[in-house]
Amino acid sequence: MMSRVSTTITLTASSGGGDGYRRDLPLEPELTSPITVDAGALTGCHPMFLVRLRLFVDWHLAEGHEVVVAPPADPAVAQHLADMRFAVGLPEAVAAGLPDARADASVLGIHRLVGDADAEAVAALAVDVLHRQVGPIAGWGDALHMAVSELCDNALHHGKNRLGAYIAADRVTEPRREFRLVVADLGIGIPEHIRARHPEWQDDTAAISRVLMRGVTGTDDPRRGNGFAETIDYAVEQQLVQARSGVELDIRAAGGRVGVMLAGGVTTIDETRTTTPRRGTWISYTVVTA
Amino acid sequence: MALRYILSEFGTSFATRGRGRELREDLEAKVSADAVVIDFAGVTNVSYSFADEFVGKLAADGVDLTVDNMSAPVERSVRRAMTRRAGAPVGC
Repeated sequence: MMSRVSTTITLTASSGGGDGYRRDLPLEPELTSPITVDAGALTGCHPMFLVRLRLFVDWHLAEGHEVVVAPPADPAVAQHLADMRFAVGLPEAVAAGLPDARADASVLGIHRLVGDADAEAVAALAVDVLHRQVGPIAGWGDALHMAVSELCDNALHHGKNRLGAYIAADRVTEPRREFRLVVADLGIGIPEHIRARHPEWQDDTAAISRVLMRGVTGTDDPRRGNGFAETIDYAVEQQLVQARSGVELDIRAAGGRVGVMLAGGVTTIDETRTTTPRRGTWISYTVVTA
Repeated sequence: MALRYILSEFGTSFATRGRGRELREDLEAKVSADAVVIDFAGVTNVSYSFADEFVGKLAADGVDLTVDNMSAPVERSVRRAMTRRAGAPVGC
């Protein structure tokens, strides 16, 4: 008699955090199908985790694996997962235990982007959602449009891979009021992309820091490479106008991580290195509102 | 007589470099006039990369270009793209 081997991944209460890469959801073809992700213990769900989980599911489905996500035991967390559109586009069996999503125009949720038309639509949608959630704060919608546009454009074209790019956003009010947006892809990552033109920048964190400067590009056009700088410039301008607000941009790719914090009229850059390289590029853009 | 290119016929929000390329190629295919006026009336947002690919490259190619009816955030991106790409002021 043959025994059926399977894989079970049990998430913990803290699995739903904002780290863009963790070993608990491995993208390895050797995992034995069917794969069950037991999300029963989850107590929260950062949009970065949501993207990571959805990417895990899509990646393994593309590998031909069966995947099932057992829903969080906490009904509020399960409902949040559903409302964030986690199951949209997935075969019914993958997330059969999730409740139905509630129709809510003020939720952006998760979107998979495979082409420019998707990025165009989601950039406009993100602004609309921000306005519905926190009101039409002068300028923030425009700054967000810039951020979503540039981040999604980069993810789709420089991070090209078979799954495309992912974007998700939500809003929290505790411990502070935040609009949290993440964009991720499984492409070659910012450091590798930029080394196509600048092979001397071998340090991943330094390479990420460089793309925040003007005119640094991995393409053949020396007049490109201003998207990140424009995103930050616009956020700085709005932060100065909206004194009790701020923005945090966090970029992780390969072995590098760069955080940019704009608050109180001051820009702080935090560079760290990791011993666990991550695949792709994982970016969070958080608007903190008073 | 200048060609008037009304951007709102294609949308009100423009995000990607690819979309900018598409519209630039569409405009270039229609240009028989000496000058072009791009009318941004009704357009709420354009990203920097879109503006660079669409308007910035037209300006860099030496097209006699006027941009019109821009909101403040749209003008911000368009001006920056044109200045960096062409290095020259553009009529409005």
